[in-house]
Amino acid sequence: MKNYAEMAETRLALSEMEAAEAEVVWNRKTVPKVLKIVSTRLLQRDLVSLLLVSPWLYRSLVSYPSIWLSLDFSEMGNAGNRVVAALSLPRYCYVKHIKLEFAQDIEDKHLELLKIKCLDSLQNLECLNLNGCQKISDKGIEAITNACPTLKVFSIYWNVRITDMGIKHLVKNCKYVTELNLSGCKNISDKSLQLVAENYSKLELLNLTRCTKLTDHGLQQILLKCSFLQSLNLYALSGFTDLAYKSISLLTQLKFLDLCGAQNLSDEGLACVAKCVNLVCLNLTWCIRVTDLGVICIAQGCTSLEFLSLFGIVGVTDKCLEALSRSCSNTITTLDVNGCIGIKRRSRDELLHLFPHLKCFKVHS
Amino acid sequence: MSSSSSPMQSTGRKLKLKSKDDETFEVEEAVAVKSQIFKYMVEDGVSNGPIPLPNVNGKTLARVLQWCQKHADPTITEDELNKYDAGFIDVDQAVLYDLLMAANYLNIEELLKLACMRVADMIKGKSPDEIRRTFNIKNDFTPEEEEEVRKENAWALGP
Repeated sequence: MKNYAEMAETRLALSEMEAAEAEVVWNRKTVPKVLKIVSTRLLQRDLVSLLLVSPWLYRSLVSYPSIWLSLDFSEMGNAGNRVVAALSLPRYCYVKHIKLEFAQDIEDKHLELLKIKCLDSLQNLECLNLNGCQKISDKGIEAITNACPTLKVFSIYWNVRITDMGIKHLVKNCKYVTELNLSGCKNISDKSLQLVAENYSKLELLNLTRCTKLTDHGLQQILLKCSFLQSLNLYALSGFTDLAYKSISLLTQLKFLDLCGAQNLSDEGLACVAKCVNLVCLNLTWCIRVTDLGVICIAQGCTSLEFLSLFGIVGVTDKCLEALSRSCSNTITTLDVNGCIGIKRRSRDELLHLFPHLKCFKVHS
Repeated sequence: MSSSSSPMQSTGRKLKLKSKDDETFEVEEAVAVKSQIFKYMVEDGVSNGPIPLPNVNGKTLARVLQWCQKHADPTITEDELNKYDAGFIDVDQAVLYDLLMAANYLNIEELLKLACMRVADMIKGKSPDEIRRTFNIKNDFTPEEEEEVRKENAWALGP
């Protein structure tokens, strides 16, 4: 019979081994599983730090393609070289989103390099954010759109170099675009709108903020052909007139419409907008020609309205608020009537009385 | 937020659940349906015998159901709920992982988010070495391997 102490020792050694084994199982099985679930909520830098923790963690994380679908270089310096380095790694070969918003040091040559070196990794790209990448020109657009045929969302806010030529490359190379943000791209003309209208009949979102070269003619093309638009942003475009505005009624799916600064918009034009019965957000800031007549049409037509700004419109009175309250009191949560001196009863309490779910009273600063 | 096609009536009906270590639990439908899995079962009328949950142990299931109970209470305020959640998720790592995986398995979005955010906070901004210490992971990299991985990912880590 074994010595009692020896048996106890053996038992202890075994349980220590079990505990050690359990710890290995717990670590190597549990921790990667947990981190896989968590990783989609981690910032890029933290995700990459995990790779440096241990070889088995590196191997298991790299083996999950679903956590390597986004690349974010927002506001980073030396971004051009970074994006080329990242896309050269096999784990990013299915990347879907690339964000270069306000990234510095990204130029046409980097986009050209991506096309030459990383073409295979760009075949699944769906979203490309080049907001604020002011050095990119039509040449870079040509290269990157040529490399990304499956692009759905393209955003290049505040780039004054891009011209109609760049848009020509976009529509030629990327057939599936549903969201296009050209806010601040001042050199875009009606020609671009024509190209978009002819090629993107399924477009859902279009932002043309401050594209001041555009005229009614270009806008009409969009309104006629992009019938599935849900979001249309015409902020700070004071050159359009009712001639084009009237055709907004064709956009039956429209939910979001920004007409801030539409100084030529009349009640007649607004009555046509009122035919977009699914409108949820409507910005009429500085639409100074509008009166009760037009807003009452909106009240009657757009019964799902949640967000409305009448900022700066002096021609509207309490009458229009009463009409809005009759049809949209259940839904309106944001209402800006600052500067609407024609409305006498617009204190916070008076507004809450008409619109009990109001949370936000100021949109425009 | 889960929305159902038909209004959820408080039938007072209960679901029977069985954990992987054979512990049984009875829970009201209105509480159980915080889990999308049970929600579909209830909607499809498939909830007679005890539902086996081979991936969740009794201890964890008890905690999860406690959370669901609190979150199904219509009288509780948002503030109270936030306080409760903060206390609920302040647990040691092993319990946290069990909760996270149970929430994932049972498809309870809000609980999963709560647990994930907690783990994410444990990682956020930390160096690889600090992460190792937090999760008690040994550095098995050789210096050469570590250098290689570091170089490969310099684009993400550097200034």
